[in-house]
Amino acid sequence: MNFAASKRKKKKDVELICFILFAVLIPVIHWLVFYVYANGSSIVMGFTNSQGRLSFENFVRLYEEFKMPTSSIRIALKNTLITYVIGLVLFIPRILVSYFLYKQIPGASFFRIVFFIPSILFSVCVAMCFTRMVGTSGFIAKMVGDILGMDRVPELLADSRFANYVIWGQMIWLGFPGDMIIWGGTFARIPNEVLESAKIDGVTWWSEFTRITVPLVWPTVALKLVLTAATIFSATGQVFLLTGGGYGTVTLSAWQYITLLEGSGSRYTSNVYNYLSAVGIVMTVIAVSISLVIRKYTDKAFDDIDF
Amino acid sequence: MKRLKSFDRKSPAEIVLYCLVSLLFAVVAFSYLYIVFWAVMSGAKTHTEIVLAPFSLPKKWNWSHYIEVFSLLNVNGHGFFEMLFNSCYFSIVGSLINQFVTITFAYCCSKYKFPASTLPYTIIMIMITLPIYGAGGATYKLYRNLGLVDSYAHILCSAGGMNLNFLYYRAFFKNLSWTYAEAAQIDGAGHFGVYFKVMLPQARPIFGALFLLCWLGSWNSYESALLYLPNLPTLPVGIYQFNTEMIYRARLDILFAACVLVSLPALLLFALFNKVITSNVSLGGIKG
Repeated sequence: MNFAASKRKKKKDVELICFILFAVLIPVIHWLVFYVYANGSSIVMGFTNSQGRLSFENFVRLYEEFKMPTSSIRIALKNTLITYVIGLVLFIPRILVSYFLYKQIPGASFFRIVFFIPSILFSVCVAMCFTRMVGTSGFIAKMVGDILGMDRVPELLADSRFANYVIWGQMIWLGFPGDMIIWGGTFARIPNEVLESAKIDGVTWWSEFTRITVPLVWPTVALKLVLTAATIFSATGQVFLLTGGGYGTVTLSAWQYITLLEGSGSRYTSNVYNYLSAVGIVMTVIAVSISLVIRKYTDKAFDDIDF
Repeated sequence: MKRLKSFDRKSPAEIVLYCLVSLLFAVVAFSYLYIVFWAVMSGAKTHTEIVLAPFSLPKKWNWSHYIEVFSLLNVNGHGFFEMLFNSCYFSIVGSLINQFVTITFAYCCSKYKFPASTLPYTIIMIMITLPIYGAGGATYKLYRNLGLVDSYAHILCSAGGMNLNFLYYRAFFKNLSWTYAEAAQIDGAGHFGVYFKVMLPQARPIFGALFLLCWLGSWNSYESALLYLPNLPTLPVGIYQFNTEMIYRARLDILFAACVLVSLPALLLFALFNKVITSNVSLGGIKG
């Protein structure tokens, strides 16, 4: 090989290394700092007491608080689990919404745009409108008051008897269309020929849905199920915006956010952030276990279907 | 009578089912449109009308409130245009940085073989299926120590590439033939040239779709801005704070007019590009 060719190859190799570094360096550094270091610090903080020494103090506190029936952490856990179950129950209707839009029911194009309104509008704005709509001057509160035979119109979001139901109701109402981008994109990729030939063979709507469509989109269903399982402790409605966590509506993620926000003004957050980390460690251990179990079963389901 | 296209080659049972589903969807759609109408109407009412009769039509439609927003929406000395600038800076520039870093990273990992090139995919799959909770306190301390709280440098937090979008871009490049690159290399293009002149332009549709989604999330988000940027308020934070001050100001009309105005860009963009987004984003693939 002559000198010029060798020089050209060396130059190409250097350019290749430069390109790989250009592409990889920033995301890797970002991940190491903002994910690995932040989560590593969080674990250490969970095992650190108010004097800065390693201890199980935060876990003992969590256990003690959890034993009390009226503790916020217990209420938050209960609300989170209910919210999570509501989300799971909505899983199938949400897929059906995208399915019917994909099947071009009358008005599908119109619904496809309008159903995005809740995710397009500022959640702050939606919460403010909703708060006024269910307020004492609105017809919803008056109707509830009439049905229950109450003397005064109830303040639905400022009454622990109603607040949670209102938040869950709002969550179901606004979350009804589900993740239309993911499901819409997935259904759109089903080959038309498959459905056409099924139609020619006289397959009914139900058989087409259960025997052709669902098996075809099964990878997305399985992945979505695993992703949903993993976010069990993130389940929350618009608690922070609607009630600020008051009236027995607090969820774990709202509690964490409010705690963070309250501590953020001060340079010295005492032990509150360490406690937050300890709670996070316990939540992570539980969520990872659930996620691994669901993953095991969905992986098994994958094997049952031929590629 | 001309049959609707939706009913072509459908059995009577299917037609009934489709009509019932359409009816249900129409009720839900009406309720969503009603929020928008209600906010628009409230923006044109007086404060007293909103408080005393929130559901009735205004006696007089005061469209001037929509102009007054620009001068009256002021929170702790931060005006509308300052908040608009902050919102645009963190959502547009932040999303561009995030998407560029992610697409470049995904391209490199899917098209080049180097030590640990497959590792990011494994790590991301673990990250999204096995999340870690409770790192908010540690993250806040880290941001504060790095000077990223209440600073325009906070945008650096967007420069990550280890996220769900990496998977979309990776799948796109895996299916994109390398022959384009080879042709460009024969013409003398280097690795940077191949990426910027040949491969990246082909990824425009998926880049556009994911950028729009990222921007939308960032434009609407108030949580991180309220926590990390309290003195550089974005529009959602400004409206949230304006709402808390509202008890003393008694200008709900301005508040709702502001809600309508700041929601317009996202509504318009989505109405225009919703097909681009849905045709470019899917998850998990199709069996076959």
